[in-house]
Amino acid sequence: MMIRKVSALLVLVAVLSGCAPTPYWTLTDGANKLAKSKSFEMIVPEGWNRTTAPDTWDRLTIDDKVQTILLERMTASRDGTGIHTITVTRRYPDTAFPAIKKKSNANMLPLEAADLYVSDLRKRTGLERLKVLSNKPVTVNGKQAFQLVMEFKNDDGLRTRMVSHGFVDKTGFYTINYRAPTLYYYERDYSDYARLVRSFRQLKEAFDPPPEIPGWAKLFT
Amino acid sequence: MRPRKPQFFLAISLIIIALPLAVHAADTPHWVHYKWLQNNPTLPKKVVVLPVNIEVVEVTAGGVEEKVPDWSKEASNSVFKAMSAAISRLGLKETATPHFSGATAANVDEHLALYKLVVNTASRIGWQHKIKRFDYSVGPGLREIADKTGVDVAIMVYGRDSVSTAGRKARAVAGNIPIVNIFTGPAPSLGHSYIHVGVVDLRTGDLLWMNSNYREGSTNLRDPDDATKMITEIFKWYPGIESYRKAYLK
Amino acid sequence: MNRIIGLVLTLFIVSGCATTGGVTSFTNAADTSSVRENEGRLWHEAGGFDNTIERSGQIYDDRRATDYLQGVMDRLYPEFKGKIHVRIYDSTQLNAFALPNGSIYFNIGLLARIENEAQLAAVLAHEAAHFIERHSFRQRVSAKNTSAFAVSGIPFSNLAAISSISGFSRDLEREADQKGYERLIKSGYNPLEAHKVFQALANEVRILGIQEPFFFSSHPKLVERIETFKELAAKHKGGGRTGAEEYNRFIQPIRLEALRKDVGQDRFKSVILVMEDQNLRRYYPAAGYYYLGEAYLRRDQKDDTQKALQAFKTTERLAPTYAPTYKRLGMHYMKIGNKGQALQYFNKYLSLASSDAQDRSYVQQYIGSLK
Repeated sequence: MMIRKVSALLVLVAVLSGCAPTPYWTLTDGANKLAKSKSFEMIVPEGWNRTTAPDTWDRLTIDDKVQTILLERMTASRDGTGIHTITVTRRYPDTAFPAIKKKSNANMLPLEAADLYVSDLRKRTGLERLKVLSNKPVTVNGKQAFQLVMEFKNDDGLRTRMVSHGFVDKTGFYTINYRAPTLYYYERDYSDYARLVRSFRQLKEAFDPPPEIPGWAKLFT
Repeated sequence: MRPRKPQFFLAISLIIIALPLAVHAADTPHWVHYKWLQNNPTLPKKVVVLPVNIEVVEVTAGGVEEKVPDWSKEASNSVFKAMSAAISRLGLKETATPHFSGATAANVDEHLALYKLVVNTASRIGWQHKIKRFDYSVGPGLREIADKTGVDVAIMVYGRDSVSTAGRKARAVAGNIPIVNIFTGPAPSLGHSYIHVGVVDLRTGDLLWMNSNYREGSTNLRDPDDATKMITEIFKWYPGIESYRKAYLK
Repeated sequence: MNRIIGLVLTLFIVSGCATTGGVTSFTNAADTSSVRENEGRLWHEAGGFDNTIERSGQIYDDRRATDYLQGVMDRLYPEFKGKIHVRIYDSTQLNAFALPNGSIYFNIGLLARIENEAQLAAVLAHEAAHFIERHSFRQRVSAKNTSAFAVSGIPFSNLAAISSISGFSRDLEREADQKGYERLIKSGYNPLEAHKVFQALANEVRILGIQEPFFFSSHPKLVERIETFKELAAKHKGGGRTGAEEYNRFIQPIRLEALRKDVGQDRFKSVILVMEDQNLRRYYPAAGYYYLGEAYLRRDQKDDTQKALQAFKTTERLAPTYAPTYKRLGMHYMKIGNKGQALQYFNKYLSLASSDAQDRSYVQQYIGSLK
């Protein structure tokens, strides 16, 4: 009797594991290239993998304290995030620049947001040597924005380039980033990234009140 | 009859669970570029081996890691020799590695760094579509080497050998002895060695073939026999086009 | 079982028996060729760090300033010329460190704080003493021994382990103080300047609550350095080279760059500390007020916007050709709705800024929106 119960349990586990929850990654093809989060949507290049649903929180160490920061983030990569990624992030106004503990506001100019963003990035990553190659005003989804191009070298001497488009409004701070090795990868996929930026749309749900930090996350806040 | 029935149910249950695992066990350790999976690929006849860099570190009982430059040089030489022998056994002709200096040397170094990044990502990628259509590259920036040597394909290698000191080994022994290990602490991990080998098209940068070998314990890459064993194991799967097709495309 | 335990304990004792004694200091450059085996490994590892630092773009590219620092080092230790190499490290942290192979790195942050050549020489003499007395090798040998017995060993696998970046033991630091001081006197520098470096650093560490690893690593160690140098200098009659003018000629551009980088990394407290203190501020170019303004904007406390505006106006007065000031003033007036003033300042920025200035296109956009 006992063995039968155990066997039944084992079969149940095997069957249930085949009914897996939504996979973390979705491969983009012609039929599903519109990727939607709560606050924004964009068209992801075909052949790229992207997160099926947005990440809604991040864990950061700020001044030696681990903090849970709410955000909305979708990630896409063609060859694996170890090599390159496109990341689209919305940060809420109170935690727009979390590592330097600065907020965003609707009156913030793109140049001001770009300066704070670079400082925040340097502090978050510990990359004091992150260099800004260019910084210019652009438009994203009809809004005044910045376009930053940055670069750093790792300890092996491999250059990594990042391009970031960003804008601020009353709902928070939005960035669309592309990071890739300067050698070969950056240029190869830049046009895919540029198309994604052009397709980016903020949705009306962005203007809903921001979510509350869940109870469990308050332990880390 | 009656006592057999529960065992029958158990056996069936175990088969149901084991089936996916059995399918997974058919996977191969190596990777083959999709261009080689097409009909009648042109396999290389000549190769050049780019600078081999095997880093050897000695780890003490307390976890102090110290790079040992002489040992690193020795290990790199052993692996290079093992590689040359393996290349010869495969019927390939090895062309001497040209001397690099100045901007060329910097370019080669950066490509080796890119190779390390690509291989570390590609070898762990679980995305089925990438496995079925393996198309990684380091870009065409090494074309100059092909022009200089007349060879279209290079072998790129990187690896590491972590060696324990006598003190660390003693702690490992003590750490496995009950009661004694209350005073000495748990047994620390002993050495490990790994080598990543890639066959790269110098004109396009395509990673045509890739394999790696990782071993825990007392493998010593300075030892020509150990280096040979690891390299032989890696090249056992070269080119392995049919086995790759069978594992992932059917 | 007893035999196994006995064997294990014997192995422990044997592995712990290596001593730190018998390590003599180098007397000249030729001496360094006597480096063997374990110390040779340290040198090679240090060479690896040199390559990594260079390859990853962490060297500050200023040939003139680097040559100047090397010249001071060669004056202090002429018998080691060609063996001790000084490089400028591109970090605003208050740090200088020596590697066991004679590479000395001096951060731009620390260079910016130092007032004159005598103070520079005090730090260089101390760091070089660590190399000459082979402190990295001596300390590492003892670390390896003690860690054999440690239940949870502390890994020393990074730069901190082989360099002076985190400070050595008290005895070795005192030895470096003593030897460095002797060199300072011998080379004709004013030793009364030595303790002032550490005094300024101790002040900054205390006010800012700096935690990161930096020169001498902790406030108590800095206080000890100050006392040691004061004791040593008390025996000195006075006089000696200070070299303020020469030092400031080479280091002035680095000071401004350090301020710019500090703002860029949100280290606004450091900028405010330096630029609000007239004793510290006197060595900085007038354009430093611009970064004070930026720092106030970053701090964003009550009245900081007014303070920032004042700082920008001071820069306009004292450094009238410094272009970024006008961009900031233009942005301020644009935000408060004063179009006329905003346009005036933006146009001034465009007339002064270089053609490839990063913010040029923003200013052009602002002008377009105001017209």
